[in-house]
Amino acid sequence: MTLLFSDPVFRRHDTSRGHPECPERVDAVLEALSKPDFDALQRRTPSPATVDRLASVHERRHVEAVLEAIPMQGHAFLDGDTCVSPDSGNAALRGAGAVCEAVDEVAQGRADTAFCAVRPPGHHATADVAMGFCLFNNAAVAAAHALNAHGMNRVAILDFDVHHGNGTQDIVWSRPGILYISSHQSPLYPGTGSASERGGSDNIVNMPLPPNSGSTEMRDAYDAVGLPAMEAFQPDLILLSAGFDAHRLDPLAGLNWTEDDYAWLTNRVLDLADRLCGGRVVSTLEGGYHLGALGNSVAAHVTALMGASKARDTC
Amino acid sequence: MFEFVSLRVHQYMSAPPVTVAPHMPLAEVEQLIEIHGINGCPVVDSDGRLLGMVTGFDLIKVCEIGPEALVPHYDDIMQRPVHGVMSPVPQTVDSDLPLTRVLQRMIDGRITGFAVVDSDRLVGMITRRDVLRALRESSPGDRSDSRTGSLS
Repeated sequence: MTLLFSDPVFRRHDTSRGHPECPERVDAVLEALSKPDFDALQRRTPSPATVDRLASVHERRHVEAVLEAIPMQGHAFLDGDTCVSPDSGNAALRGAGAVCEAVDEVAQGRADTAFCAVRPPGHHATADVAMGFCLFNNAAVAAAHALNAHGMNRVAILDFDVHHGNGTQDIVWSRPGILYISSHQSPLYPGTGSASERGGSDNIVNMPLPPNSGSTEMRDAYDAVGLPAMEAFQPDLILLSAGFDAHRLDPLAGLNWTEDDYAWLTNRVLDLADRLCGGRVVSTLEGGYHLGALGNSVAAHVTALMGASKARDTC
Repeated sequence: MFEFVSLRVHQYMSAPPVTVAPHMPLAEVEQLIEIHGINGCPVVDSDGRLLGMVTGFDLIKVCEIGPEALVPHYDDIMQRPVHGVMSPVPQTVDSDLPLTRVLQRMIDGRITGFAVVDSDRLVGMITRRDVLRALRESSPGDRSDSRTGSLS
């Protein structure tokens, strides 16, 4: 069984007119997942994460500073790209809460897989800096939660957003219980993610991809590097930082992935999850800024997440 | 500035574009380039399908001094048909492509403009000038009003 976490507050995180990380992104995702093919999804609304839980990966004063920076009205910019408005704090807390609840459900066997259609995204948020449209690091918070609350020893985060998750890398660097694998375009924002950045205990695997590359290069990288690293780590749970901005139509980057590539990668991850960790996969939305491509790519991704759990239900 | 990333080709392309037929003499192409102040134009068949692209560069190139003559025989050369000098496989984009992608392709290939093709039909042209206009108009210091004024 596959869960879908969403909340009306995710579309109330207003990032100012014309901003690419816009409320319509969740509309595009939910619209794509409203088709009859997705009737079997179990839809849930999350509770907000507590400040204590965020403080397991963020500096507490950073969490408080972000929440204090939320304006009573209008907009405030935390950096040149990262805009917040009155509902942004609630959205960010519920986003992190959604991924933690998804982990609870999957860890306790009440669901096989989950997709969290959250805004704002999280993977650029470091332990003490909100940046690149991100306030709190949803995937890292959920990974720490899986280790702390569910007695897991190893959690893998696989990040296929087109941008490198510098925030996740920063948080994971000296935590040997978390493996961070990222494919991303290089050069591109935020400039980190070279293959030589490997973490405190070889627990970071970066796969930079050249501009204009597509299916062949990404499949080769995952087959040769990313998926074998995942297998060697033997995770108890796999988290996906699911950005869909490597798509060929995305306006913020220059890779040429297609819907089929997202389906291929998701299926490969699920095959591994079946062998390594009882099929436990929790996916959370990061980037993806072409609304049509985002909807179609999420549909391909979630179809694969559901297909795996359907196959398990019947055997 | 954020707005630029949401712009698509169809919002800034020139449509319908100036086109030429494959049998048109080069002299007429040169005249069109001159009159419209364009770099070149798409070559289409009678059904509007894109066959190639002819540019000022192609007209210069065919006048290159070679082994056959001491000087370029301009008048004779300009009577040749377009299809002999056009680039037969022009780079195209579709009208829904983000302008950020067009901008990157222009830089990567040092390309001045793309034919815009939807379902095999030529629907417009998008040039460097169009992309610059989109950048300018989507930025806070929008000066498009004064520019439009001076152009009209």
